[in-house]
Amino acid sequence: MKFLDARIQLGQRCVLREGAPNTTEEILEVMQRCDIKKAIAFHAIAKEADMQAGNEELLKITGEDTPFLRQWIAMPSVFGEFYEPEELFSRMKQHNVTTLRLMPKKCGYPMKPYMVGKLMDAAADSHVPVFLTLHEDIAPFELYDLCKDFPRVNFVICGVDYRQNRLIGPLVEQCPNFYFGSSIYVVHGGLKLLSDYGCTDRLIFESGLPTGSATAAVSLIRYAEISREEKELIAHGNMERLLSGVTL
Amino acid sequence: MKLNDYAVLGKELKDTFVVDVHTHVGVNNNYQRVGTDADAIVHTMDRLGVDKVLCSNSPGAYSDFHWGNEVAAQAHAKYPDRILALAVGSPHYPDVDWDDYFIRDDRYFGMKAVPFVQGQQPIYHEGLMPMYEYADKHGLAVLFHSWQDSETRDAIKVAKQFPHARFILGHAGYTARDAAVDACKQCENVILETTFSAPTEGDLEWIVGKVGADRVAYGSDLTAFECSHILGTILLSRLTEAEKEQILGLNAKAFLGL
Repeated sequence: MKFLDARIQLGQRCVLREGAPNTTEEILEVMQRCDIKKAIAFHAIAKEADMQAGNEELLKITGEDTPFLRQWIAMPSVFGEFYEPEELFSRMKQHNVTTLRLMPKKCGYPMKPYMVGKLMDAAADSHVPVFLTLHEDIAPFELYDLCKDFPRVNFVICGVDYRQNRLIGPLVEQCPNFYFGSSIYVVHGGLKLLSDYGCTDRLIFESGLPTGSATAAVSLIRYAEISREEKELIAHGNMERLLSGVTL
Repeated sequence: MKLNDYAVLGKELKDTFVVDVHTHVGVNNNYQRVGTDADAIVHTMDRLGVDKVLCSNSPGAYSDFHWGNEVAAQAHAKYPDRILALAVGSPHYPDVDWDDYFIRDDRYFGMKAVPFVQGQQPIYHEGLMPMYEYADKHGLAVLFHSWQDSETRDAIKVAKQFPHARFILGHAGYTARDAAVDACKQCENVILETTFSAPTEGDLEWIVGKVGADRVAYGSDLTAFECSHILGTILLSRLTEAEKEQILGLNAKAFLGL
């Protein structure tokens, strides 16, 4: 089974963890060991410091000769501090950037229509999936309103932990634009529950490398008590389906 | 097949002795309420090829531990060769007659101390000393919830004070990493356990590099968590086959006398 990883961070980050894969080469070694053939990647500088500079750095280390699919980190333009959506999406098209990541908590803005409406409209028009990480970027109880406020945007919520399982049910039932990452969704029998309730089309494989664990993440899928077809959907099919709809 | 091949194929392990030293039976409001009984545990063990588990009742630790311990004992009674019950103690109730558990009842294998969820009490607590003394006197195994640095440092003090008891440091090597290393260096009666819901790649290899593969044992926190993700960190790691076998079960077998 081959994997498309929906969350990898590249570049030098502020805090090093001894033993973790800290360079691109080390991340590639782990990916190879885990049969991760492609990965959606953003840059550490974009997350930790300057999203515009980090997005540019990402272009330098990713490309067609790498397994990385480019993801940019963005924010709404206020007082001209970031690209207006039209320019942002034009640049994304130019550089083959197919997904966006937002960090509303860190950047100090709410995911509300008055704040990110124009940006979300542009994402919806081009079917660009928008990624946020739970807790870091958005609180669990904000997810329902997020999906309802922007029903045309497909959201991929990364890092959904085992404690959110009760929240997952109504979100997948009532929000067709809600997708969530698998890395730490370590509910006992959780994937079988999703299968029993017909929801495996919403789960997206992610490792969270380099701070997450790819060996753990792939094993969670491979050992799940669900069909081979459903495992393939989670491992790569669901994300490929979202990416295939992108029309920049 | 090599051990990593099992993980690649998602197949249950065969011809490898596997012990999960950290599992839970019983419904806990804090977690998912389905798939937590003894049948569900053994079903998962069979699917992954786990031979034995050490098992305590998680909700009882948060409430009436005597009630919870009975749930764990019943799980052992139903699957005596697969599920080994741990009796939970509490610093708030030091006057337990542990003979009721280990002499007049033959369903318990060892003990579990998780005072962090019992009013955020420390492991080195006066109210837990009778429990540790009993474990020391009878050479019992005690599983600690040792998540924070202070918990692990307390565990070191306990392990030194009660050298005949055997202590398993749960969740070791992820958060309080340096303290876990110190525990192994200072206490021969300590072994580390691998449970973590959100591990970082390479953590296992790091801790094995620091303390040796003979000081780490597989644990998963099943049924609070799935157990396949931690199993995968072992099977797909860069460790040798021999090291993986030690961690999967041989260390627990030797340490616990299974």
